[in-house]
Amino acid sequence: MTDGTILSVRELRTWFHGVGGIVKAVDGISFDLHRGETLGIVGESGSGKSVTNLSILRLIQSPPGHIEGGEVIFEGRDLLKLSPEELRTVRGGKIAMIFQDPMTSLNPYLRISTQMVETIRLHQGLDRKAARTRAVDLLGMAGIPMAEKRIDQYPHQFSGGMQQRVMIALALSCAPEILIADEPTSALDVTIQAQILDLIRDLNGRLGMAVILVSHSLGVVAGMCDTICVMYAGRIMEQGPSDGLFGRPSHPYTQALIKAVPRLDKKSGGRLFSIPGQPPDPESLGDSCAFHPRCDRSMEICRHRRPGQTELGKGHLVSCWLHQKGHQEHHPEDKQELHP
Amino acid sequence: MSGKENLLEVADLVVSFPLGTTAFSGGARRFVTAVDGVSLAIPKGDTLGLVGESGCGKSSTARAIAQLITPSSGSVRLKGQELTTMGKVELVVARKDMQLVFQDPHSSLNPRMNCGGIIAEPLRIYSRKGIIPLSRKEIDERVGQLMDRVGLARAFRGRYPHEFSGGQRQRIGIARALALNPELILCDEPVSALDVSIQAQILNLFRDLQDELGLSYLFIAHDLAVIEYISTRVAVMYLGRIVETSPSADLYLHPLHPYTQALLSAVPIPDPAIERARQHVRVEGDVPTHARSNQGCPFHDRCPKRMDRCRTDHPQLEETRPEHSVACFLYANKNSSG
Repeated sequence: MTDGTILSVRELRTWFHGVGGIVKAVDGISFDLHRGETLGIVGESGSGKSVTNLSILRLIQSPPGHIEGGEVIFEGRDLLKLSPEELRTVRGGKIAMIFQDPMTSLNPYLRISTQMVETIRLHQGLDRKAARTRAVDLLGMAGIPMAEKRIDQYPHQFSGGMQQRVMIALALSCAPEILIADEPTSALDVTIQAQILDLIRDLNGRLGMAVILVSHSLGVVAGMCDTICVMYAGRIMEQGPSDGLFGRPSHPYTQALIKAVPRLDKKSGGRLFSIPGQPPDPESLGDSCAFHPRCDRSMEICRHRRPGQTELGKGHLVSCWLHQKGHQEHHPEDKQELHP
Repeated sequence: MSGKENLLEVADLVVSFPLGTTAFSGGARRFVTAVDGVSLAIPKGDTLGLVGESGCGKSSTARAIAQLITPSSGSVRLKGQELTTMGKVELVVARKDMQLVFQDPHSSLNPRMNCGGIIAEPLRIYSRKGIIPLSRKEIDERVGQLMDRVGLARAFRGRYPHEFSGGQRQRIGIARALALNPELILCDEPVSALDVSIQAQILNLFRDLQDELGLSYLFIAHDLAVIEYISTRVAVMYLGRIVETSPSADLYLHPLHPYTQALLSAVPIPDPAIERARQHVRVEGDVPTHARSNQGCPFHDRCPKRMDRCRTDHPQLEETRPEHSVACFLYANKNSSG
């Protein structure tokens, strides 16, 4: 499918030390991103999707946050061990990030030109004039009409969708190898969301840039991503190629999440499937499956031990005791079928 | 409309907000027309879904119906009574039958009142005014019942809003709206701030309450899949006008207005195979936000199928399929005879 791994996250753990105890926001997650691939990280609020991405670039505020362990291998180096100077060339240069709310990511006091030229000069060492020309090109590439005129405007003169385009242009300014998009369309209307997703898809195809797309919307990741990680309470419950994951969702949480979304393409008969209860208090998570209190198929072992990963197909991994060989036999009282 | 009696009837509702004068406007006041001649009706026990993007006037419509903002013109009739011309006291009595649930369950609950107090507040107010005389004990009992009804443990009565999760806070908001036994609930994006798994719980709760209590809803959302799930009828709004309205199923099977088509096409479907195979209708540009000329179809500058006429004339809602009306010149010749 793609040639080679570009970013490899191994057993990443980011904890927050609060007054009430330790919040394990990200607790031992691993995934690989391949060249040119679009990887989706999907999960509900508090599942650790954003913390994962902030940890990759070491943007976690410390204290209270601390990266407790793990590796983030990019170009053969562990980003978690780089010096601040080395890291600065990666951040924004090789790995760029865009956020949910473009208005808070742009400086309201500065013209777009000032903000873009500054970034381009810093990273690429161009002179002011060349940097400006490049900025105009980038804005055009991000789909902003009359870029040479609009570059001298202030952020508030742009609509939400246009601001996000400016952010994308800024992110592209250093021709990054990876674009991390953290809920890039959650603050936007559906028609604008579609435009921005089209743009990201187009840039991914044209520039061969790998994308990590974080979203709470299954619909958004389904249409965009080659590979998907489903996160819950700081852990990856299931990950795999999107066709496999949607075609054969295997973790009870993934199954429930897919069933809980009202869909336009299917006639909804009667009630929506809903997951009882709420996401767990991350401080109280012990050595158990994070989903067991809400899982309708939880077994004794789910309460006491955290499941390892089982490979169901090529790259399709699930962390669930139901799929661990041998555990069905150990618990004859759980007469649940593996695939309903 | 159907044979059922209409609980709510809104005709030609207009809401405009003054923009304030500037040194350059020569003292003349300009206005933004947030709601521009909206007419709708909700039969008893039905749900009307109002869908549209930010700034299209959905919330202003709901607020004007509740008389929380004064409509510039038009009529709002609840159970046959005209609300726009009512005096303050009459309005308080009438409003008992019409309650609101808001989007953000955090800012719509008073952080300094506990859960029991929030749910009891409407009862206390109406009791104090002598409209529904209740003793303190009766109010307490009613609050307990309401908490049971929306799925909150009675033990949480003394807790404060910040101690609840988003879904639970929305349940408090719903219990408060139910306190006075209303017939109509205006729901302004009640599930938009919630996570998927919680959203499903709250949508199911809305449905159950409707079945048990015979409630009617005006349900506002920007998520078309949610609207389709909950509504009997749907009205699509764009820039203050209803551009299409039809029974829920028909809208999704036969969207007529180019805007509705684009809106439906923009909703991502959580299935990679389907998503790849879909034909997408895309619209250019953004929703215009500022005061605009009142000429022509509000959608004409973004419409992929615009004609010359769209720039100058304003299309009216006309029934092109049974119970399915659209305001678009593409369908105009079909009814020119009728």
